[in-house]
Amino acid sequence: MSIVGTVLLGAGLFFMASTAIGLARLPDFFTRVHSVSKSETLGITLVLLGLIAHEGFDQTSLKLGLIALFVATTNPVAAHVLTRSAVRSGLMPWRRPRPPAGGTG
Amino acid sequence: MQTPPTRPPSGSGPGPRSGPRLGWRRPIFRRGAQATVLFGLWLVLSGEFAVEFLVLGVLAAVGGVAVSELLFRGTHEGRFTPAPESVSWLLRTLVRFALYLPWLAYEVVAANVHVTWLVLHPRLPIDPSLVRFDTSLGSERGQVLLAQSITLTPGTVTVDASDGVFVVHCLSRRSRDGLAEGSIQRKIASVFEETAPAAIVLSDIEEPDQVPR
Repeated sequence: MSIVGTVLLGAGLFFMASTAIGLARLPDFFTRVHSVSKSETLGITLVLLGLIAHEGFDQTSLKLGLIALFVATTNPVAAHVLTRSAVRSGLMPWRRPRPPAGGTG
Repeated sequence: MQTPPTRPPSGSGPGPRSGPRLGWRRPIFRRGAQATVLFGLWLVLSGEFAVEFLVLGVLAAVGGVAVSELLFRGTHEGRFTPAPESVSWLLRTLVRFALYLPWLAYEVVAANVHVTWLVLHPRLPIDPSLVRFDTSLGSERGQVLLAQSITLTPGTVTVDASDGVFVVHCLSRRSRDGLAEGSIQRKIASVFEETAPAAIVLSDIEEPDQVPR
């Protein structure tokens, strides 16, 4: 059980680390919202599953499951609110230049 | 909002209902369901099953429903929670929704791997685009579920969703093609017994004045 928990925790941490890397590397607001709101959901869920696997199933597992449920419900709403207010205040997304003149983004 | 021809009456959203509100559609059942969910939350969080804790939990659940009725009186009646047609419709929908969740979870994981690959790729091969489309889903709950599912799937964020017009930001060409394929919309349509086209027609938004308001 502990091995399963460690693997899940490691996978979750990997996705959360890639979230942070994406935040640093991606070019504009919208693409960063992608990075933060998504891998975050999977990362947190995997970490919580890892914790459940470590502890064995009990009442605390239900609480951790609730946290995962709340994160999965509120994260899309937060991403939606952020991007909607950005678009409504006139911010347009970064686009890859169509004639690719050696640009790597 | 597009209205599919075979739109079931269960998704009709706001509007006057015909006939008296009878049987299980009476508000007491909705409030009872809300209180039951709140009491379940109480049980999970407290973990105590002595009588005094149970009594306190029932009081808290009923009080919570009462406060929400006072706060939201008239704002959500028949709008966000349109009464289901029948108990069997509700049960069938819940079963189909429960079957939808594992499918969505698989999609989320697969798309997450794709986004992680994009982010870690040395050349950062993203190709963002902002698109809009009209959903075929007639019911408000179907549209909410679609918006949430699109956002949960990494690579696509629902920017706006009002009156059936969706604005979505896609991170890569592949995320965009996955959205246009329309499988999420078809799955949700089957959950709520609606119809959906085989694919979604996306149109690009390139200037701020193309954004629907």
